[in-house]
Amino acid sequence: MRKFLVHNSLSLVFGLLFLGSLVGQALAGWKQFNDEQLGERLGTIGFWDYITSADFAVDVSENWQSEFLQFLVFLVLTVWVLQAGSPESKELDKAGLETKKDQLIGPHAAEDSPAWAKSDDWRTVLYSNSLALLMAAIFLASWLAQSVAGWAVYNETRLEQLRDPIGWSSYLLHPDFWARTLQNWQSEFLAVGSFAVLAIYLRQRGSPESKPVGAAHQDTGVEG
Amino acid sequence: MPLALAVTACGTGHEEEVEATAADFYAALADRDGAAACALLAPATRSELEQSSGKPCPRAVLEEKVPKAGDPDTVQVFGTEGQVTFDRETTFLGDFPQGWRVVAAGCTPREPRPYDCVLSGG
Repeated sequence: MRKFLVHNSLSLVFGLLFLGSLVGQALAGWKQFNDEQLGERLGTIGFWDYITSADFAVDVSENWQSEFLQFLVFLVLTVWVLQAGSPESKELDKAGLETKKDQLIGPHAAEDSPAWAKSDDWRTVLYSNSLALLMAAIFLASWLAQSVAGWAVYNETRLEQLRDPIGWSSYLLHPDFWARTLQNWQSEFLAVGSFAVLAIYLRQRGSPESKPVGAAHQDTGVEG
Repeated sequence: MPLALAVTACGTGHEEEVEATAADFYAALADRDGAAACALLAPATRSELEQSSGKPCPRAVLEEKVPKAGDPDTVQVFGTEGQVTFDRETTFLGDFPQGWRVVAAGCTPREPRPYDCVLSGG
């Protein structure tokens, strides 16, 4: 049991951090919603009604979609796009999908390689892109969720203002949808881009996300 | 989140309640029952009516020129807000702890600006 906890501590810790912050967001969001309702001289709602509301759904989904988009773009771009000196980049002569030998595919697979890496057929192609496909699916699903929940929240606001609601297809072209989307995207791309560059010159001893403390600035694709 | 998304996408299930509240409000006005009509007004709307008219709500609401609504055409509900469009006018409602209440009535459109309403909360 202790070994399980130690060997899986990264996922367990982040899982707990996620759950804790999601619960915190729900409580703070509920209080914030009711505070705004009081300011508009409208009715307040209970906690269960809030966490099953479009207001909570859009606040969660707009963050999820941008996080998974960030991972998807970073995952795919780093196949071909390089950054000299960054531990986040491949070595400068390794751009591209690499050889089957490098990737342990088909006849080059090891004994303990996943089965679909050994088959060297359509299953290998699918498995070779499985991470990006799942990230893309989660991104698209959460972006869709953001569009539906955001549409409902925006229309709730329009009705408060004594204006007619708009249709979902109109909402997809509306500044409210794109402001929510792009405010999240800009921060995600800034975080990844700046991390890739800062890690050229700065170090965090012991972290696999950093180069070794004594590694040269020009060393690329080296992890601590 | 999937539950909230499903509720959002499929409607809140409050359309009947919203339509019934609006219909009851206009029925009370037609019956000249000011007390019943005022009981269906949102607190802020009732307060605004009494302040602007200087009279108790049951009397003031009957003196406002709220047009007869006609038959209900469409009902839309998003979160804690609802709208019922009748033949001759539109009503806006809000969800309060005591139930759905009329926030604005006797409303006519003036796109792109908000509706112009005979009765509203401010």
